[in-house]
Amino acid sequence: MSERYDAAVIGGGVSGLAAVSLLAKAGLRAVLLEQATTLSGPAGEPALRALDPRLVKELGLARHGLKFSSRDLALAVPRSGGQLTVLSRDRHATARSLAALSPVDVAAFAAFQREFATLARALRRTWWEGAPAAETAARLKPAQHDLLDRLTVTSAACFLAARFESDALKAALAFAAAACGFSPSEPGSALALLWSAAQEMCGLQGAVAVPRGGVGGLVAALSQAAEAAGATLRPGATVSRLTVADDRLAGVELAAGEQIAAPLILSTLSRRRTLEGLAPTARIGLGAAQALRRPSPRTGCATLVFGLNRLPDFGGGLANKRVVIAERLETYEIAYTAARLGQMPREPVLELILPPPQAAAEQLSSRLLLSVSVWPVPLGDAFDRDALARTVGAMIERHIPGFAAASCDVLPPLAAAPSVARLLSGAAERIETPIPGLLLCGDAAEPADAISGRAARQAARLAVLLHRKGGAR
Amino acid sequence: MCWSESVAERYDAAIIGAGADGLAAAALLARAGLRVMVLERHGEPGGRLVTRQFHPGYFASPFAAAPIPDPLFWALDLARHGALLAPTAPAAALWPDRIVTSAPTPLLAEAERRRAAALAHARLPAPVPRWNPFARRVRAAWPAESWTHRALVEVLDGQEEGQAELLAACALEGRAADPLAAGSALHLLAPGGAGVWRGGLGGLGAALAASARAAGAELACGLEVSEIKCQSGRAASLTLADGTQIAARAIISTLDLKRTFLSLFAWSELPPPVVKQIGNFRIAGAGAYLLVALGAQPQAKNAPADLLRRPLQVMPDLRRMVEAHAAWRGGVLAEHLPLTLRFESSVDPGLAPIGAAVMTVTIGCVPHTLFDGVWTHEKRDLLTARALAAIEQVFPGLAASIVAVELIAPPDIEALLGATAGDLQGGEIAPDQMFAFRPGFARPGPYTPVEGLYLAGPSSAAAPLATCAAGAIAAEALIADLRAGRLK
Repeated sequence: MSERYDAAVIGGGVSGLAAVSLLAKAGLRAVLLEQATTLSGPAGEPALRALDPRLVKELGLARHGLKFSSRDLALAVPRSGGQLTVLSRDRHATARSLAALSPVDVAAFAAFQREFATLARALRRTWWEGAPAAETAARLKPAQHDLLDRLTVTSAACFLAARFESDALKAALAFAAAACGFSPSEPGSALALLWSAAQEMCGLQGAVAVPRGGVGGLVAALSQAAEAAGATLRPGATVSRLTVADDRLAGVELAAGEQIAAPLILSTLSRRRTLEGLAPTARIGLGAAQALRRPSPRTGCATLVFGLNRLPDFGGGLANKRVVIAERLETYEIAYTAARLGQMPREPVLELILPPPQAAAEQLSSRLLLSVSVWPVPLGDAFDRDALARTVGAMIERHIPGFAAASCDVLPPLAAAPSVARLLSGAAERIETPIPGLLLCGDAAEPADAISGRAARQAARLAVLLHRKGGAR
Repeated sequence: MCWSESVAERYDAAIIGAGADGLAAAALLARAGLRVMVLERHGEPGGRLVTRQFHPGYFASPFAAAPIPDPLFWALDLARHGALLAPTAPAAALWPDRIVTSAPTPLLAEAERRRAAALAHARLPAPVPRWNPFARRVRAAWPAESWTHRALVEVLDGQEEGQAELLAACALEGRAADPLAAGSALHLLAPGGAGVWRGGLGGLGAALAASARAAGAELACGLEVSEIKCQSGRAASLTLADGTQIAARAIISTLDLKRTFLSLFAWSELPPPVVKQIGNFRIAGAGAYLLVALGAQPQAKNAPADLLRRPLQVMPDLRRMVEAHAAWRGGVLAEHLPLTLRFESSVDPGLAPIGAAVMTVTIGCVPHTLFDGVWTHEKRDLLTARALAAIEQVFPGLAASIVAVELIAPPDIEALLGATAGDLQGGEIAPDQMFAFRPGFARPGPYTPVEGLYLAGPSSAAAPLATCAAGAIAAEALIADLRAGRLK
């Protein structure tokens, strides 16, 4: 005897929890199946840059305990000479900081921000609502359309080099492309700059916020919301395959042999893993199966979690900032060339999220955990944990003297497979699959790799529609 | 100069540079009944289509030229003027212990390249399409549109052992690009040299010049243009280095983008955004050429009979290509440089004394500006020695038969041909500098922000795709504008 649900969600990350909560809130009997025995966020990831504000509101996440220890982290770029540039929301402070680098860049940066903020808002139709890019572009003014056209083929490095003078500013801004998984010298990576400008955290466009307890805090709030909405959460349930009956999606079979009946299935796995790993082969169709065969990515991002026994001296105002360590645009290029060749880069690009002093002091009672994202690293056998920990530790030590980590945990690297086509695709192309009733709602169904919950929101909406249609029939 | 004289001197079109594009444009314009003047800095027409005696009895054409589209070849009547293309065998890759010859079946790239070349010659006003993911697909995709964001190795993936390296080396001949980086696949569209012209490339140059002269165009060699003068916002006349003014209703420049706008105009004549945009256009030279006179035919072990008729890639290796590109970016001479050998005398024996041979070596990833300063004699000798040492590995004993060597480094190319930074491509081959983004003015095609001035040089959209096509497109645009009364 199998359990019956209206919808099943595979995978219990932020996307899965968001999807199952929204489904349950819409009145569907929904179940979440998670392989791990506990629900937790991606390890080591402390900051959010793209969480959909509407999701926070609809699920009442604030009521369920989502709090932010920092709502808008300023971006700090320390340089090897000891100079520090800080880009914050305070326009005047940013201008002062930039004026020390180059007076020309002050005006250029203000113009760049204005231009990007406007265009990015216009592009939200595609990136937030999931409308096809062609429709969004057709509504733009000719000058904006032109800029967008150019961004789709230009590399972030070339785009920034044409606009700005100072190495520090160019390197700082190029990080947005790297954070989306692009190499900044890749054609089309300039579009990733626009994508990150289109995001909003805590009501602030382009902000990076830190939830209390990291992404784990968000996951906890989401699980509470899901339970409050009446969803069933089942950690420790590994899905082995999708089942089909009478030519329709019937449900899933767990590794333990249990059958769960659900006519609608939302998967947070990637398209490839969902269709090749779980779906019956004959159902995919030859064309779709061929489309899945993309060359595997060569580079990725690694996360290191440093455990600190005492608070290091963050120096002149690095606390409560997002610190990007990249000297110049060439730093990215050299590192990506090495990673593509399967070598550990000698000087990768780092992003440290440094906590505000009081939060750090609170945490320090146990041990302060500091997570560092490292771009890029080679994937596969070439990935060398020890070498990476040494390189990164030495690089941080140069900028934060006395940074003596008691422990260093190197998490497995995540492959980055961004593409301009994905950034410009509508929600339908990313979410729907050749199998009716099977929808994708995870990170891979987002326009770019990020925790946003938007694909989950769109997939849940579509699932509710399908459910109502099915019910009427 | 009195007023009546200057009117008498006025041409319908003045063309700067008598290279392939300039001569093709001149021939087409003159045939349309226009008064055309071609101004060339050197004593002879041809531009990069030259064959030079670099050592007594030895002739070489250092610079390769992309193929001429068939319709243009016949429209210019080049066959009657003596241009004859000798068939060459497809390329081969050479290692000390093995030889890989190019697959006889044409690669996918070849078809795309042909489409691109045909498109480059397509009639105006249908513009060269822009990479536009937003446009509803009413028209067909432009050739190789999907390559815009792909790496060379991805496109060549699935080739047999050695083939991917060979094809990548052919695509990147004399250039600098990272075959693993996205966007490098576009190099497949912009072919290097193809075939050997009888009498070397100079034979083709002479045929083009003859075609232009026969059509009635005036060729003035030895005259350097120093300035383009504007009158009420449009290009009106040229000033020569000796101060002579030549008035024309329209001007076609076959120089590259930076040379045309940043050296021929007073800066105050152009709007600042245009100057900034042109300044941001990326031009960087990467090719050097080595002309080698050999006293005897070189020998390779277990070589097929037609080996010397093929363009030969010396030990192509993807990793070395990436490393050479990284070195080039840093202004360093790479340890292992990509080399291509051509034995033109084995296709056209007239280029070398009997029993001897001419070898043209194309070297890629050679920086125009070295990080530690200018090209000194020691550095030139180092480059020559590195190239010859690599060649010695695949042709043992070749060094002994060398009679003379001449190196043409990027600064020499800049001096010889007037190409900015010695870049014969006239701008980096990248998605944001191809098709309608090349040269990137608001109006695609040969049009420039200066009315009456058309750009047909290596920086124009069609130039990387085919020889002469840019000149033909500019000529067509000029004729159309004249007929429509837009040029006074």
